[in-house]
Amino acid sequence: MTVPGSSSLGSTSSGSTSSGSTSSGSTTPGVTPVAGRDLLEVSELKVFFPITEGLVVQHHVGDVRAVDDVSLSLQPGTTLGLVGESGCGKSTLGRAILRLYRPTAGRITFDGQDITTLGGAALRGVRRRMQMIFQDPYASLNPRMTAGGIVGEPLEIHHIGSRSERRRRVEELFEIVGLDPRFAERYPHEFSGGQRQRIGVARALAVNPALIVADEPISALDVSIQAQIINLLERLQAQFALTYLFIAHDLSVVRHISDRIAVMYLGRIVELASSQDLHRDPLHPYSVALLSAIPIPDPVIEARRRRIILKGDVPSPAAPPAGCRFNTRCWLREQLGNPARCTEEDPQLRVLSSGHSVACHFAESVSGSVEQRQVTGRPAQAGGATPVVDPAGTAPASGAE
Amino acid sequence: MSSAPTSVVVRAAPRASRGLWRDAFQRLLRNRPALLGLFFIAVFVIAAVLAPLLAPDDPAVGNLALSKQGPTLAHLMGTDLLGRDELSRVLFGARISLLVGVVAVAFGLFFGVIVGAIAGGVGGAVDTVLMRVTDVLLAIPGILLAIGIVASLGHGQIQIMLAVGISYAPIFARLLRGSLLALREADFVTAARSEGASPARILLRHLLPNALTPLIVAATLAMATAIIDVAGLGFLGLGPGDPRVAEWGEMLTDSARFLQNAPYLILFPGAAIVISAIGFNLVGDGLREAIDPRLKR
Amino acid sequence: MLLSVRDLIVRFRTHDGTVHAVNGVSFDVDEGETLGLVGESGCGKSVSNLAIMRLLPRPAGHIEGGQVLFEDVDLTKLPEADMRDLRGREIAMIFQDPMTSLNPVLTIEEQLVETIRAHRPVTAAAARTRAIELLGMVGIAQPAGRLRSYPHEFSGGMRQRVMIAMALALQPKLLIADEPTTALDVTIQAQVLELLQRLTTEQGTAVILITHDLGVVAGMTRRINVMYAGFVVEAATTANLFAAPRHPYTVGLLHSIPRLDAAVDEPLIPIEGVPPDLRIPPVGCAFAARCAWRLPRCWTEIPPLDPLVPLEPGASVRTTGPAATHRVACWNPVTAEEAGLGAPRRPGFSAAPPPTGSRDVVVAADTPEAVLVEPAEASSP
Repeated sequence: MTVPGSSSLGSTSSGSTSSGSTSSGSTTPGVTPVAGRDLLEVSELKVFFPITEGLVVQHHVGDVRAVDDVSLSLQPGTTLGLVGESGCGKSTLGRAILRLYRPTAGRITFDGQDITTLGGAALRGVRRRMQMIFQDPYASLNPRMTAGGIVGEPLEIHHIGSRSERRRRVEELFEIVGLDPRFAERYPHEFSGGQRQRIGVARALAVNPALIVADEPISALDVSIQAQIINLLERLQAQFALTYLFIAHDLSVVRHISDRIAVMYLGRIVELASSQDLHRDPLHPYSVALLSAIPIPDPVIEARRRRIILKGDVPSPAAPPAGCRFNTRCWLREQLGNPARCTEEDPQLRVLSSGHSVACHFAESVSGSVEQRQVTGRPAQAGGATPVVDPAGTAPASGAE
Repeated sequence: MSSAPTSVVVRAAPRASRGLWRDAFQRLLRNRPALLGLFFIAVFVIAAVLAPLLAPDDPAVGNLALSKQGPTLAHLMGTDLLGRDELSRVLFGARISLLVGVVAVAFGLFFGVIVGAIAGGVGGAVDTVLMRVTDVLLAIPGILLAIGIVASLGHGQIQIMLAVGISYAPIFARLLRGSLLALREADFVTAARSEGASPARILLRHLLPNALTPLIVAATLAMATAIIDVAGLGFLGLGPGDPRVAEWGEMLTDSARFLQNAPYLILFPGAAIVISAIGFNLVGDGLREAIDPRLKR
Repeated sequence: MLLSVRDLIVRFRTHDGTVHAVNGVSFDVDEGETLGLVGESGCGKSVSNLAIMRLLPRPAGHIEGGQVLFEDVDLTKLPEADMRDLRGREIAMIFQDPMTSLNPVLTIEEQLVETIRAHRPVTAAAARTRAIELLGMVGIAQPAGRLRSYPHEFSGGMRQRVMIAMALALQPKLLIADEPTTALDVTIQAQVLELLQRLTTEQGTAVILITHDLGVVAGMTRRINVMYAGFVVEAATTANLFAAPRHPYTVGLLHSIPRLDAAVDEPLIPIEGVPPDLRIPPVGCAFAARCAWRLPRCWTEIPPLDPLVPLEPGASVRTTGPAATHRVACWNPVTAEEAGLGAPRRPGFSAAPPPTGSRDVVVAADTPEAVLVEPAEASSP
């Protein structure tokens, strides 16, 4: 049996109009009324977590600067990949955008509305239009609720439809994500990891959100299941014009699903480019190292590749290095004879070519370097002859800065 | 991609879902010690409920001529100093232990859940104040606290229930608060928040149902302690105070003098206390494993 | 032959039934060779190595059959005292999570010195010197100073380095590395893999690398066994396996991960369905329910791990070395063209439906096995 794609689409939109009447003013969920306007705009966002000490009275002794001055924008219907290693602040950024954390400074604009300081009922209203998919399919479903109850909960919270309408919608959502609706009465522990993740996706879809923040949605799944979920997310995006913020540590996965990619390091975006550009012409030394570190399942290519082995560990976000945050591990800086500028001056994200921004004083030296050529393709030939031949311009125009 | 593998839909016949509790109960039934515990509890409860039908004699009326007789066919557990049938007294004693135990634990749960839910649910200064108060209560040994309460409120069944119950409340409060705090960080709670759920809904739908599991285990184990505490209070002379009422702890005190020539008078009520307490302990441990199967392979 | 695992069968007895974790697995490792064991969680790759080390969780786990010959001694029959002596000295192991495999209340020095002195008759001072040398070898700066540190004072990558130092302290002949870099970030993974490769090559240590990551084995190993549901389904040299994968599961794995060097819009071909319930004894090929190439007999007969190409008369199967025979456990192996496509390409061919009446054998009675056919391929452009 297959999902009746067209009918589910139709009934979804009918469901959305019935729900649209209760919503504040947006027309069709998932589609922004004003063409070309960013669905999400984050500017100079900071999220600090205070470190306190003391037995009785808590002294503020410092901050974990999880997200430290991040700006980005997201156009409707596109996917922005947020990639970086653990502790780089990518998850915090995603959750701050959903206002699950209170931003320390900066502004978050969602669909033209400043939501930075929104609270209470107004915030709950906005949350109807932005949803989240979690990493751990075991921890993200309430073990005491049935699968149907979990998927239907957002509808219940926002008082959408009658009881029987909600029931029908849950059945429809089950079919949309490829689950048998007859399993709606079962509890999460009766499903496998991949199926639980489908339940999580169905829950996120329930209220027809415009933006979905997917926080490492496949990294807890088995390899053979990961592609099922990636394909499901891609299909849903096409079907419902969804906008994704896709957070992951695996650059090859992020590259597959994203239109644009932001590389984060220690609370900062160090490079922001289209997927193709980031792969073809990575301009931040960290991005180059990250690309070079990812193993490729092909022994012939692996034998030829030379990795950039970064020294040491990521410094603590409570005490980031002065100047460029990457300077303690930077291979380029070493090559350039350790210029003082890297430790003295904090590089700002600057636009190098259309839509390609990078935060490195010496990004020009990365372009065309041996290291860059090593990771972008076959070292023997220059970049152009790589099999990565994508029609230029498929990436959405910039709009970041 | 039309060339993608078309997988055959392999369906398992949909069956009625087993709830988590039914699953847990199934696992409990497969646990032999817990099964033994359930049997002990069943004996204890049947004895308590059906005492008037099962007891061969009136537990309050004795025949002085039959004082301190060893077990015979007429009196399977013998007779006490006043010539009352010991079996009847043990059976009726189960009533008091069960009643006091259940009501005391319910008391403790009631106060504990309210305090714990407020502390863990609201947090902040309220949490700090409530937890410092429970810390103080926890610092006083439970039985001492109960003795103090009985001593100040006077003898009587209600007083015992209240005393034992209040001594348990801080334990339940701490436990519930701890689970609530841990659960607040759980992904499914974050998910509920991101769906726009109100704080009350999060507490009632997501936090409490998950936090109650350890509480149920603790309450079962507390039943065992309660039976012993009630007997202990009785043994210390803080029991119901009515010599006509059969209470295991008081029965022990009354017969302690005759340990030399009538040891059975200690043996039977003592065994009743031990068996019922062990029953609740075994079931409590079994429940813990059954509810959280990760603890055991 | 350093290690020869023969028809290993491991089962777990649990409250919910017997788990058939390893169902007759055989593989060999030569001295100094690197073998990759690839598969998903529950495929038996970790369990078979715990069985080699006789470290199966008690009392549930049992070796129910087979032999583990290490230098011609059957480890399954060795007394526990001899086994203890062998662990660490001859066969060492490193695990995924270095935090739980290091003792948090002991300093690195205590743990390293203890490991060395448990197996070698050396003085404490000599062991300490060796410990410093080892820490320096795995790239820990100021090793003498760090010796007195506790595990929690190291980062994840550093802890894994310490684990490698401990594992290689006694120059074992075989190192079993169970997902050694799965918990690490990718740049740290690169550091640790490079270290592991360099040290084991220098010392001539044979390595069994257990991982779910095909990219990691591609660069790190010479031979690979692909495992699924307690069976080895394909065994080949690394070069052959990637150049000419023949088992539908191997092909499926290769097509279900996005590759960094692939075209951005190259679609992924997922393996549909979920792995089988290991509580049900296998009757046919364990992969049949998810396989696009299956024949009717796949449902009922377990395919043996046989050479892909029939051997020349007089020739025998090579299980080790650079010329190891490419073997596959499949009744209907994938062709070269199909391996590139990721789907069967034969006129009129369709995967055999499950035999009537045997459905319960294939589908676990109490897991919601049914997953609707993904309509993605039909609807996406």
